[in-house]
Amino acid sequence: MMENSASDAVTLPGSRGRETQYWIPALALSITLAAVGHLAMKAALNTAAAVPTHGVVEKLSYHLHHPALLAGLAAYAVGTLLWIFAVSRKEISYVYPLTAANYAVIAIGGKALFGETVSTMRWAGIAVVMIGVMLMHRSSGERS
Amino acid sequence: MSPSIALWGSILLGAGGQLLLRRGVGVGAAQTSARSASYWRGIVLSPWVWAYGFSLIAAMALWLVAIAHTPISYAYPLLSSGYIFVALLSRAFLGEKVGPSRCAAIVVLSLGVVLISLG
Repeated sequence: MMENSASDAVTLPGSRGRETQYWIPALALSITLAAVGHLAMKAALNTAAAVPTHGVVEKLSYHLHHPALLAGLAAYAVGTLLWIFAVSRKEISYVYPLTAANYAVIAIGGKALFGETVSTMRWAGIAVVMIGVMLMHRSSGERS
Repeated sequence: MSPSIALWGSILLGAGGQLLLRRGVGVGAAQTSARSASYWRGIVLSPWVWAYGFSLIAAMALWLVAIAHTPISYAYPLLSSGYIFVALLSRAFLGEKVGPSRCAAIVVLSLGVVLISLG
């Protein structure tokens, strides 16, 4: 009997139905949602800082009603569920470094969206960090 | 609480939380198909995953305090120090090996983190 070629495409031989390949798109989407979430939360907190509130409770109440903050948290929550799936399939010391792309995206976002000053040393640090993360990625070939 | 304390507290809690998560789902029922009930049971019933959840919430709260008062282009790149902490903690607590090329990566990351925190 012919195997269903669609199911061959999603499970590797010997994977015992563990959807081994799905950790890749899950991780990519998790990273994207995390970046969107962080920039939205920063946007919310920037505007909230300017609003006069008295005391912690009023400030917290204001924050919890801010749509950008809630949207940012929602994006981050969905990204976390996808992250949990990726980490169940791949060693943490391998998966974690692949979030490196975010650093450049968010620094650029901070400058473009919020007018932040990013010094040359900070850009250099970000570049070095991204190199370090790529080295981490390559080192995943080491047995762990 | 100073923004600096909130920032580094968030980073350390985040790194520790990742280890709790891997400890919880790297073995056992979560290793089954995500279409199966046992995968979800493995996640929901694992105390390690719950500990991860609480540490994540605490790290997020500290993060909000931190980024309300610091530029996102400063705070977010410093999150990369989490790689260093995760590698060191995973070696200490999960028995994951840190070979020479990963060690080199940690050295480079450390340099980057120092540049960002000084810049």
